[in-house]
Amino acid sequence: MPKTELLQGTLDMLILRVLSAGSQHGWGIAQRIAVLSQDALRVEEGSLYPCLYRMEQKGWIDSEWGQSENNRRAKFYTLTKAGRKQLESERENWAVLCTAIGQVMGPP
Amino acid sequence: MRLWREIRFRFRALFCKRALEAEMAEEISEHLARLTDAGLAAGLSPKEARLAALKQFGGVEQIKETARDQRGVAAVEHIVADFGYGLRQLRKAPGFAVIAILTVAIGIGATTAIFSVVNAVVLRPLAYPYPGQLVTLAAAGPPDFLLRRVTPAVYFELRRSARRFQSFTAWENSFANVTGLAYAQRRLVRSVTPNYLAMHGVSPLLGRGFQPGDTAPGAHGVAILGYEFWLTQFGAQAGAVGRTLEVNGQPCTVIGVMPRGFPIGSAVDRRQRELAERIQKHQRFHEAVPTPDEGEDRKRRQCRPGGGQNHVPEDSPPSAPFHARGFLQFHRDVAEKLAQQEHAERARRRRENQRQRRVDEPPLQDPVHRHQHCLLILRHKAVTKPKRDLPPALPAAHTPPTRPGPALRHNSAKNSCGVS
Repeated sequence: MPKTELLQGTLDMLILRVLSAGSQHGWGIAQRIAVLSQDALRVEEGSLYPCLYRMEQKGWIDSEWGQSENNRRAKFYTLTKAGRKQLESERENWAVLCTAIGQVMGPP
Repeated sequence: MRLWREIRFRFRALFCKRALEAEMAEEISEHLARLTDAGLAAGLSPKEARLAALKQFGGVEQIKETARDQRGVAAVEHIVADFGYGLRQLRKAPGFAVIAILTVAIGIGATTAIFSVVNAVVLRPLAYPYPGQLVTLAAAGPPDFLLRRVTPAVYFELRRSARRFQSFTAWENSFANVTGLAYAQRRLVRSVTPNYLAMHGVSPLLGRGFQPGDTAPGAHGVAILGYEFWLTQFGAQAGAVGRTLEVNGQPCTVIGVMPRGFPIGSAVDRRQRELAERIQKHQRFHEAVPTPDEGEDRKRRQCRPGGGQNHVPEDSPPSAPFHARGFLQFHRDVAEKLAQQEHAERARRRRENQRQRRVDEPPLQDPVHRHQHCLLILRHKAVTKPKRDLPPALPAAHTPPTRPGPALRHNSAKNSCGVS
């Protein structure tokens, strides 16, 4: 199945969405995105990490070292209150954008 | 809260860089290991699995670099790195380093010196109100010739003819023996014309300023004390006003005290004082006489009387050496003659054109006496810190003296001698 390039600036939103279901480590986030998108998105998994650090610096997520399911040390990321708010606003934006683009493109 | 978080992160990025890097490396290698494991599980060889993992992950170094740039301290890190590189380069080429450092040092030194001059001359204003309206007139002479005095004759002539100036004042610094205190002292004395203070827009802290009547024939000599002199010699007591001192043997009544910070001896004065001391040591002064310009010189020659033992002969060049001490006496007869002429001229003019003539000066009484009764400001050389209970200086040197500070009012209220 051909994969689609991720739209610029949407990775943040995807990460926030994944984390809204509970804390997760980097690998887990990548897996969740792949599962939820049914493997349709091509994400360079490495680019998750700069994104995560940036969001942490902005205060949208918190991080904590913990034990992963395969008993290895892993850094777990959790959504903060500010992150939840950010997710809501991005979701709204996305809806507006989708509707607008859909209207412009019209039915096939 | 947000700002605090940002500060905390940047602080960590700067000072706990190794820990951050280690965490990042651990996370990424863990992720790669998992990707490789997934590849192995899918039946790839270890090498193929590793390559596939790297491909899926993306360029490890680029990603790390992106994360580093995001921390927001890249600029600081680059500066530190550049600085270290610069130091290493300097150590590698010591000769170049020495020359470069010397160049910078000399450059800074020269700039500082030039700025000091500009600051003193241009930027820092004189300690009088309206310093922009004050000009100094000096006779032409070599640039380092600091005793470029204007003779009394020239002074009177200038005052008579120069219409562009509101007023003229003349002053002269000298050393005088001051007696009548606990012990005899040698002090810097500035002799001034009565309008000196009025022209500078400054009034005394205590007592009164000079008045035209002070120069009347037969009038008693009067003096205004410098602040430091008042402080050290009179203990800052208001009773100083009215005391009589002897200046070079001539009695002199103290009529006032200048406010603190009133510049009696500026940098130029200091140099003049040194020069004056040198002159006193050698008794004779061999520098050239200031050369007035042609017109003034001609006028001076015209009004020079024929006789007089102290006179420069008619045919001698204006640059003939003169005795610096007793300068005023030297020109006294010239001044007398000039003043008589001036007197006559002014009387005539007044008669002729009374309406146009602006009466801005009191009628001359006896110009010779005007100079004989030189008005004095005494100044102490050492600057002493005022004691706590002493009246402070006037608020600022720029403050117009018409508004005396609270201390001044307080003082004058306390003491019987009034402020004029």
